Amino acid sequence: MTPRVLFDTNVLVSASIAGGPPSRVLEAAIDRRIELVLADPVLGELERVLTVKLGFEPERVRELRTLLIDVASERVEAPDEAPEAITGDPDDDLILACAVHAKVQVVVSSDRRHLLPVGEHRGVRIASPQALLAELAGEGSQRDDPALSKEAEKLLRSAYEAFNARDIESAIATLHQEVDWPNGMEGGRVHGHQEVRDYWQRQFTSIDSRVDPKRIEPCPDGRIVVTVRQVVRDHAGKLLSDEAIEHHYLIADGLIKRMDIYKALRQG
Amino acid sequence: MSRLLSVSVPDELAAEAEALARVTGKTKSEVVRDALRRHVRHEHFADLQRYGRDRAEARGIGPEDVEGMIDELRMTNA
Repeated sequence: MTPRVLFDTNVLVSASIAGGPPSRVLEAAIDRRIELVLADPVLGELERVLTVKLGFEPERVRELRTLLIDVASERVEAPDEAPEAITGDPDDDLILACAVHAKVQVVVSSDRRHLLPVGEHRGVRIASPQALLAELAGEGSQRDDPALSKEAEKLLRSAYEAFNARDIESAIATLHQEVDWPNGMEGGRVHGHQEVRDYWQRQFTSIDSRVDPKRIEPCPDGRIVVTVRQVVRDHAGKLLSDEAIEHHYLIADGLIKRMDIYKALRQG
Repeated sequence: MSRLLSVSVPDELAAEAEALARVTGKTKSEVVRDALRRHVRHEHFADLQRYGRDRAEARGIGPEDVEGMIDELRMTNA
C-alpha cells in the first residue's frame, strides 16, 4: 500500500534548494511511491521562507506551489479546534494536528528539536527523510542495507585523518576535481580543489577543529552518512563547541563529490 | 480537455508499453500519459531546484540552514 505522508515545511524547503534525502522523498511522491499530503499551514510557511529568506521571485513560488498541489493526493486545512501542545512549538503542534486530522501514516520532517523526538502521536509516525527512504527501499524486496564498500570507508577515514593532521594536500587528494563542499564556518558552499584548500587554510588560521568519525553508514539513496564528533577550540585552547554532527557524502569516481552537514539525530 | 499527440516510438518500446498496459490493466494511453506526466513533473521540479540552489548559494545558505530560517520566520510572525 502506498503510504500517505504529510510533508513538514523543512523537507519542502530543503528539496527546493538542494538534492539529498528531502529531494528524494519529493521525487518518490512524483513517482507515486508515496502519497503527498499537503497541509495549508505548511504551504504558507514554505512560500514565506522561499520569498523572504531565499528571495524567490513570486512567479517561481507560484510555479512550485502549483507543482506541489498537482503532485499532492490531498490538501488539508488547519483543523478548527486548537492543536494539542505536544512538540514544544505551537507551529509544529499545528502541523501535527493537520496530520492527525488527515489521518496520514507518516509526517516526514528533519526537525530534530520538536517533531522527530515525538516519534509517534495518535497513530501518526514522525520519520526523517532518510528513514522514510530506507523503508521505501526495503518494501517489496527483502533487500538488505546497501553494502558500504571497503574503498569508500577507507577513503573517508583517510580524509578525516589528513584533515585532523592538517595535511591539506592529502585531504584534497580524497576530493573530486569538481567537489561541492559546505563552508561550515562562514556559510555557503565552496567548489573545486582550490576553493576548498583556501577555505581550510582560513579555517585553520582562525580555529582549531578536530573531527572524529564515530559511525559510517551507507544510505539507501547511495549517500554515505558519517556521524562525527566535532570539537572546536580557539588557538588558546578554549573549547568553543563539542557536538555530534552528520556528514553526508556523495562519492563519484572513487572520490568525494559532495558533502552536506546535518545536526546528528543520534548522539554518540 | 485533452489533445491528441502523435509521437513515433521505436517498435521495441511500443511493444514494452503494450505489455505493461496488459500486465497493469491500463490502456496504452494511460501508460503513456502516466509516464509523460511523471517525466514532466520531474523535469519541472529539477528546474525549480536548480533555481532554488542558485538563490540559496547567492545568499550563502545551505541545507543545514533550513531549520534556522524557519525558526526565525516563526519568531517574527509570533
